Amino acid sequence: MSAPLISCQELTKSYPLRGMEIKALNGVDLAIEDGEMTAIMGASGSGKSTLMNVIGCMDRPTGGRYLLDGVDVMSLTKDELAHLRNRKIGFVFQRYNLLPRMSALQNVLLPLVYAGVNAGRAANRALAALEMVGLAALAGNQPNQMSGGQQQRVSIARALINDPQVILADEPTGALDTVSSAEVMTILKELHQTRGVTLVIVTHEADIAAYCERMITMRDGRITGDSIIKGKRGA
Amino acid sequence: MSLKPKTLVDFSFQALKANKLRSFLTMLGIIIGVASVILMIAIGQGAQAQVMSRVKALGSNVMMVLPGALGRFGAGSEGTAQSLTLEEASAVARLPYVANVAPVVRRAALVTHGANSWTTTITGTTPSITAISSTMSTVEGRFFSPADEKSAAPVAVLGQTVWQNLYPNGSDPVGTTITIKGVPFTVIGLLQSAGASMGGNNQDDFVYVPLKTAQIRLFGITFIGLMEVQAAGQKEVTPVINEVTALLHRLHGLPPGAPNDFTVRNLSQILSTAQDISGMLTLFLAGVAAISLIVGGIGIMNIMLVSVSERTREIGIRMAIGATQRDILNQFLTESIVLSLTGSFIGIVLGVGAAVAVSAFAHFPTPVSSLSIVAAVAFAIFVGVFFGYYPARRAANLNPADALSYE
Repeated sequence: MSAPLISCQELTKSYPLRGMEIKALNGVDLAIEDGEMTAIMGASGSGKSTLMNVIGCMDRPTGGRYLLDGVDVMSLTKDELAHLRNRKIGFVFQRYNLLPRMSALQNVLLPLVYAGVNAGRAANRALAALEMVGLAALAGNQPNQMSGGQQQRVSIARALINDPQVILADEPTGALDTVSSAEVMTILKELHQTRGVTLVIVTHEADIAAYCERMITMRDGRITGDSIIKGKRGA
Repeated sequence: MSLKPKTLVDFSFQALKANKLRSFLTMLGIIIGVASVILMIAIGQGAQAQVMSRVKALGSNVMMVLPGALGRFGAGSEGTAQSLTLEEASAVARLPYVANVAPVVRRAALVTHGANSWTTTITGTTPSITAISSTMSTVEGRFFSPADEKSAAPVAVLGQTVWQNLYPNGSDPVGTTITIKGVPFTVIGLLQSAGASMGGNNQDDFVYVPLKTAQIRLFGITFIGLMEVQAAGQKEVTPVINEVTALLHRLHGLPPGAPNDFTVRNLSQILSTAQDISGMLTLFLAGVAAISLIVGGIGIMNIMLVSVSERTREIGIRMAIGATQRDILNQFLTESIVLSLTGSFIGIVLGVGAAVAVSAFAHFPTPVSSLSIVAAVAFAIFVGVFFGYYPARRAANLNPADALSYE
């Protein structure tokens, strides 16, 4: 077996809060293989969002070790982390986090702008990505002209535009109705199956976790459960 | 790899258009600053040009010989010493390259005509003064002649102000009799208006009489107050100054190397002093206007700080999808430069427009110098960078995770 894509050892993260030290992560050991579709579950305050931020290179852990694709993330500079986020990671957020006053197309191609891809090629790729999530017809619409489900699909298109190795989705259906949630999860599942993208989905809904192959539960900054729901790998 | 300038400018216009009124109000400080810098410099240079042309009208190849040494308060003035005489004036007139010499005596005295009286300055001089001073010509009658001078004739030529005060009904003064210090004089001419001098003196508040008349009939003196000397041309001014200085030094019996008991002053010195003063005025006006540019810059900084904290989430999103710190820094820096540059372009249009309007309506020359435009724009860019850097750095230093979860 090759080295895991995501490898965390003894991860800790603490914040000072009113003179006290809050341990959001309290020794997390986790390995996620390339091509897995994993759900991270837990109540709010369990540390799952903090773990997501660390895995996404948005925040540095206080202690421990984190290797992404064999690279020790702790040793990278801020700019190198930015490049890593740009190339290897795609984000899908609960509140979509599209930039207002920009069309769907402009939002989707923004990662390519930061990657230095020329405008013409970037627009073609962005249109292809929108096609994949079924929204090519709305390419010119701004976020406030779209429904929540549509905005989330635009943000999925933005997440996959750079062909990332891993897509991190933080409560991707948290703000959506059942029908839109199913649409979004179907698209993510499809991406996983057809492209082999590694997916890590943070959720507190069991039916969303049920789309995944592996389920990790967290509590008080620790991993308390790790089970294979239906695996390619043997348990 | 960082973002292309064009992309940054696109981002800036997107952000500034989202808040049009606020962007405009932020720019207003720069607009007013740039417009006033350009207008103030134009007005200052206009004033300078006007002063120069007035001084030039007096003739820059004219110099003044005053009694008394160069004192603490500049040149000695008429009346403080009695070291100059008519004979010396004649000697000066015989020097090479000297075109004209006009010895002058000035005293204040009461002048009456009928029931009207007026205290003014009596100037005793020779007819050669008309060749030296371009404003010295008559609108009525004539100036006194060498014959009047030779015979010490009791004749007078009036300035406009004196005429207005002695002849309130505006009648022709020529041929009438006035008294100066009780001595009767026949008015033979009325001078044209000469306006105010550079020092702000009314040049029309004078009565001119022949020098000899003034010395004998009015003041009972033998010396003269000062002499005005005109060189043959601009180039001869310096040699004439040297010649006159050497001659008077010798005539006054001063040992070689001893300080002079007189002063030779040239109008070109006054010219350069006037230039210095109006140049300083221009600088002062521009400086005051530049302060408003700094105030405008503080306005930009203020709004950029507000903008950074309002858009913390946007910054987090951009960082999540791969923006480096430099990308974020450049984005906000570009925004403040775009603000100040756009403002300065509008300011240039307004400033030039105002300068044109001033010269059209106030009949005052306001030459807009291209240097002032370049300086205003350069200063605006400086303001944009200087006051935009701190907010931009603040944005760039945000932690991506914190920025993204900012409410």
